[in-house]
Amino acid sequence: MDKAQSTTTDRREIKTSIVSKIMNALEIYMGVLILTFIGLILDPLFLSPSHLIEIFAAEAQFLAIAIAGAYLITYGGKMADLSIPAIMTSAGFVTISCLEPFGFYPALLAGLLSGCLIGFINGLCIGFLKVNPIIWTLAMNFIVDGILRWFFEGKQIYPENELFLAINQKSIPFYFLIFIILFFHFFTKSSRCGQSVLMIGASEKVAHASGVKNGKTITLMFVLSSLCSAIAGICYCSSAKLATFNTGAGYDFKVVTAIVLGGVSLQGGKGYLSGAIGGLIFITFLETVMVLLGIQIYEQEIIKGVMFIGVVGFGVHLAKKAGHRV
Amino acid sequence: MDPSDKKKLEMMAVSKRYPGTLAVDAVDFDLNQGEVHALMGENGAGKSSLMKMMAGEFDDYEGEIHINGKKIDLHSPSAAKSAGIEMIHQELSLALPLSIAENILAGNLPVKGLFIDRKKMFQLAKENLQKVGLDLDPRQSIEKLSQHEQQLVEIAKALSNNPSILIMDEPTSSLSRSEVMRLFSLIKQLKNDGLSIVYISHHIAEIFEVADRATVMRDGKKVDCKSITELSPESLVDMMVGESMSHTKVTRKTSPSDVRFTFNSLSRYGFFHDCSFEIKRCEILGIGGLAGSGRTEIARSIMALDPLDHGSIYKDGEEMEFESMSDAIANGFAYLSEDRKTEGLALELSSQFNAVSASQLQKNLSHREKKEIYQGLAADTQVYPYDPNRFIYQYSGGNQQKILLCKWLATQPDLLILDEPTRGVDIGAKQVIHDVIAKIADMGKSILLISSDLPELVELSDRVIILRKGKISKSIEENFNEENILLAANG
Repeated sequence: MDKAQSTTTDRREIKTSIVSKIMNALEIYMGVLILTFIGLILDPLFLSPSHLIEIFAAEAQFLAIAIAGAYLITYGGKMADLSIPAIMTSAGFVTISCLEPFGFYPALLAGLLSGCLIGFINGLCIGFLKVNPIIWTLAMNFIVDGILRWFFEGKQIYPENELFLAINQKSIPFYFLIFIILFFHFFTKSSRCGQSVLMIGASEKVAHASGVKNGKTITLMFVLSSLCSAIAGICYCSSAKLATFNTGAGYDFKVVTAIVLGGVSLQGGKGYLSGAIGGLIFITFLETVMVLLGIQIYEQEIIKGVMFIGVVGFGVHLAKKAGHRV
Repeated sequence: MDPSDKKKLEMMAVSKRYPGTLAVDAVDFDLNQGEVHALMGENGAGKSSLMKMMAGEFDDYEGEIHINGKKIDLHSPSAAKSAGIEMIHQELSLALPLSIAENILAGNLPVKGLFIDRKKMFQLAKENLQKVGLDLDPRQSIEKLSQHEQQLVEIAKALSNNPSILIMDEPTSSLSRSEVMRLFSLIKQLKNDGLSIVYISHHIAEIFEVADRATVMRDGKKVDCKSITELSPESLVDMMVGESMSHTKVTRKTSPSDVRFTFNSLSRYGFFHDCSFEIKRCEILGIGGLAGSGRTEIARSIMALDPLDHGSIYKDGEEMEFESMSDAIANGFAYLSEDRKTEGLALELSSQFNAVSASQLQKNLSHREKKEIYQGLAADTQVYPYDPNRFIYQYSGGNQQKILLCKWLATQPDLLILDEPTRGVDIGAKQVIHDVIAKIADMGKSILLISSDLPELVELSDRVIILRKGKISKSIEENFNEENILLAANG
């Protein structure tokens, strides 16, 4: 081997074809495009504004708000926050039950704080005590759910406050969503704290040995994420005009599916919020297309589950092939 | 042939090539029945590669290996095991929560039908424990044992396969003196039972106590093989270091001036004790010593990565107290970790991100500033190819190390602590890194250089202190060379 040569030349060139470059840039939006075509064939009005509003005005915007926060957890290498349903439920219950005695704004604050408190406890235990995030947040989900059922005696409660009910009518969730997406985009890409989150996601050891305060940063991650979930929960209750114990049911899995579909690595340190939102659009379109094709709701769930496993497995396969750590 | 002098193992002109380097270069090695054969050499001399070859970890070595006079291919660890070769690694490889018996018999637990025969397992384990003179209950879990007992269990585990050749890599690195003596009497007993032992150690004194012969390696080649009676510690060191000792010092424009950093009786119990030293402006202070002498631990405690139990740190006469590594960096301290891949760089992130990752935590940097900082540093350190978006794992080891150096230079430290700054890099990168280190010192910075690479320590340092078992054993102001550093490190 030519030694002098090898010191100055790194021959391991990275070969990428134009097709794979385009695929990489578009990522999940490629899938969104394909689904749009199928949708247009099945229903020429698939892309009409009224239809799009119908699709997204309902659940998708609450999901998107929760995704923005959960993205931070996955990006920071802590996989997923499975206590999202409990945070949403708790924010809804606390807000609605405080409306009567304290008024709208204090109630809103109390609801958000209750969500943040759960995130804060999650963050302390995962960041400082280094508990496994999946196990911890899953347990937290059950505990909070139990406390709420016990406290409210298993009854659902109804809001009777004009301002609260107006949240959903004035498309406030949508504006929130835009604001949150912009905030997290700049937070992760440009702020010091966001860069710390990225470094923790890539390697906690490297982050620690670079001067990052891992414990504090992880706690902040969970607090911000739970704040998003709490907002999503309050918006959901406003649109449903009640708080039930099913408020956030299934959001944990839906959120993780969108994030993983959007190309955010479950190992952390890789991916974009825009990808995660793309993942959500993909799932929403897929659901619509499946309805148009006459696929039943239970079959839809099976297809989504298989797709999730496929994406995670495929991602691991690709990563191994490219010589990444898995 | 005289049966008592039978060659157990013969390696003939074996070579092992890594990309870019020839780690083992046509080495002959032989091992007699019932002898302890020491393998000596500095770091990077090729000892561990030769050992790994014996243990069957390479399937692409060149040359021939004969066992009991018959040619054999040691292309997998299982091939080596069935040829009767067992290796005891420096890092113990025991599963802590499991019982002693399960550890000893791992891989060939006795079975009765579908189930493990527990009675037989404990009995077999007991027999193997007796071989190493341990009278312990094999049901006990490994966690409860002392370091020394764990070491013996590891040996018992190797012996349970009835090997004829045992390779021991630095077996005494974590043992106290009396434990070492007990280990040596065990080795003598095993030897008398006919076992052939390859013994690797940095501790020269030990070799004279335990070995029959010694083979010395340097730069991948065998220097010589001599009976221990023909050797003295000095002649052994000469063989390890080599005759041609004309290391040219890197050219320096400045010389050390006023004292900038003072460290007073630094201690972390169990790791290092009462270490005091000072570093001047423009000075490169070298720290020598064997692995485990506390060099890295001192650096980590200074940076508040590990606790500091006692002692004080002064910078320009002002006492410093760091709550976290972040504090230390903010006060002009930087520490380049010896562990590039798990602690130094985030392999999955881009070169530019890594290069500015530590400095951007200290102050807000715009995208343009980040780019400019990395561009300048990459040019100084000749990172090739210069591509801010290229991922770290796509770079060669030498370029990774240069980027790691950039990362800490970007924080503009006054004191740069370098822990093995050229470990595992090629000659070209090493030269560049050395030149950069000298240049930084010339710019008025202070440098603390920790290195196991003796020529590097001699070449770069203005002064050397030597650590032995957590204490500063010697400080050599001038006329230091590889021999006196190595002798001082061995005590």
